[in-house]
Amino acid sequence: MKIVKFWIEAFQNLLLHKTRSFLAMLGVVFGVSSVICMLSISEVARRDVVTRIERMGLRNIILDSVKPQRVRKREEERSTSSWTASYGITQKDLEILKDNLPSVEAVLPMRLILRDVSTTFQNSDASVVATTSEYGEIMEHGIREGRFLCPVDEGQADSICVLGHDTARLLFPLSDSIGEIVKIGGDPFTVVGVLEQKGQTGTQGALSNPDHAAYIPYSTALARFGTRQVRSGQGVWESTEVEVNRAVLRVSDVGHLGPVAQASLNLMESRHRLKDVEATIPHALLKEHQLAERIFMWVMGSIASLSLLVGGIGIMNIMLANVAERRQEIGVRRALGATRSEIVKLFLGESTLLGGLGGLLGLGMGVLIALVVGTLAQWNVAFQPVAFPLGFGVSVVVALLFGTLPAFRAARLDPVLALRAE
Amino acid sequence: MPAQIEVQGVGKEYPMPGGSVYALSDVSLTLEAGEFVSIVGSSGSGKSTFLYLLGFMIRPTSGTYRFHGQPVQDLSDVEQARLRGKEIGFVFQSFHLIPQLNVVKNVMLGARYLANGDARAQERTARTLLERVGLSHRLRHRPFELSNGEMQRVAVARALLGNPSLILADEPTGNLDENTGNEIFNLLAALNREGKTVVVVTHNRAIAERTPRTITLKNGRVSA
Ligand SMILES: Nc1ncnc2c1ncn2[C@@H]1O[C@H](COP(=O)(O)OP(=O)(O)O)[C@@H](O)[C@H]1O
Ligand SMILES: [Mg+2]
Repeated sequence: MKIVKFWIEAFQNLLLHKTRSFLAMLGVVFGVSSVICMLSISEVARRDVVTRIERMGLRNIILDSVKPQRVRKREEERSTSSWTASYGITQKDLEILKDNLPSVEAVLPMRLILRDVSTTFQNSDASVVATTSEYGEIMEHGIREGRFLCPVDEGQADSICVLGHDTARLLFPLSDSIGEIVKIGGDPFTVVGVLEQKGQTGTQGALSNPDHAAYIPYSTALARFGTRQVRSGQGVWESTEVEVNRAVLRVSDVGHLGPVAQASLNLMESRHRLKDVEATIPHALLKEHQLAERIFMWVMGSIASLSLLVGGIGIMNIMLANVAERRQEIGVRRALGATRSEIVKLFLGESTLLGGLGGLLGLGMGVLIALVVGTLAQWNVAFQPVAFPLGFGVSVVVALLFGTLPAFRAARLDPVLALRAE
Repeated sequence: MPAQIEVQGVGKEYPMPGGSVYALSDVSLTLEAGEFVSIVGSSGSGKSTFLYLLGFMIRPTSGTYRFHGQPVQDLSDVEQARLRGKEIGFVFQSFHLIPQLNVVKNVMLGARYLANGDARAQERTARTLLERVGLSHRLRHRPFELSNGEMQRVAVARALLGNPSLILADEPTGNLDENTGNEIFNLLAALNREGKTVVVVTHNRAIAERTPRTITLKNGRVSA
């Protein structure tokens, strides 16, 4: 009861100087709202980046075949001739990698087949990926219906395929797709399974969206479509020969990722004339991201502390002005029986209330700004629950700290001097 | 039964760069409960200093002060503040009302420093006191809407909220014309008749002559 009265009185005192009190709060308002804003918005970006990286597999090394600069140049020069650009990882390379690097538990080939996937009624631009039965385990991509590719399919080079989530939805919006036929480059393939939805991974290019793909056995792809692939049309004629577009190495120990990646690049370099392989280590990306994030947090923390510092100084200034203006009141209160500590309490209460109200306003404004920015940028804003008590608590503590000097100055004032008629 | 106020050889020294200022020197005085006393003296003679000393707002640098037999200098600051709230009501020359607060709120200013903190009872007391000083029609007014005489009456009501036994008034009529000054003096006299001890500092000879006892200060000393 007494506490409630105390705060009501403090509030009424602040109301006596509405503009001044409001201005005093501004610093804290901006400080807290920027904390909330930055925390929630960075959290969005963070979650997105982290999950994309994690989807690549934290124990994997990803080797991508890249078209070397020299090949690219020659291709441009001889756009009409029947020259074939041949580069990248080969099946032989994979065997050598597996034999020479004991930490590599498994090697997964992925080859991009430049053909379209369609049914009689529906076309799609899904990527056709030739791979092996180990795909699901190594890429941590579960099956939703039916089954995935199995070693038998490979042995027999069967014309079967497994659809990614989005592709299945697109091609068979109404019916169950298992057992249905899809055409890949004109050839019929039987759908034997549909994968779970996985979401975008953190890589570039046609292999970055595992949901928007159809998976066929590696051996089938070789038998049906050969190693040379031709893309033509609109005056472009491109012939490439790439055996493996991407190889994913599963490594037994996270600690070996770096050395194994280096070793495999060295092996590739010794076997290829041109530099046509790039390595990505998702785990290292994650670490890099976490470091960047820590730096970001530090920068953000500094900005927030700075604005709260400015806010605190604002409160201090206003309260100093209040004390100077209310000298006579302080003297009268002392004459009416107030102790020094009651004077301290009076002014500290007012500054704390300023901080608390500023903090609340700041929380509200931060949420509002984050939501507006989130809507405009089409982000899902993720509020971190801890930010709210944190923001409020910090603003109260800042106000308490910076309110101390004015409050003690008020208490130290000689009441007799304060009461002397001017 | 000890006297309400016993001051013995009290001095107040202000150390200053150019040498100490002695606002009071060797003042001895006894006031019985229920006395009505005026303090006169030229400007700078130590009247205000003495009044604030009587109200525990200034600690003497020498001598002893007993209030109802209790040595005041032995009390801590907090104990002095509590005793002040309970026993003493101050009235000032320039009223010192809070401009932003209305009349009732001004009278209630010291409420939270009183022991019996029932807010509703205190507000009733405040209204009764304002009625008593003839301001029942001004409860919601703010100080700048009042005349000087009315403001000083609000200040007297404020001093009375804790029902003090001792009223200390520092030139309460100094900012008032003769008529309103007389009214305030009559108010103080009435309080004295009810049994309160009243000490009033004044420049005004006529007023001083109306109190049963007058003390004259000269250079910080009581002159005969
Ligand atoms: N805080 C102080 N510091 C220094 N000198 C003071 C202080 N207060 C009062 N004095 C001096 O003490 C003397 C008495 O002052 P005061 O009691 O206010 O006189 P009066 O009320 O009779 O005019 C004056 O000379 C004044 O300058
Ligand atoms: Mg004086």
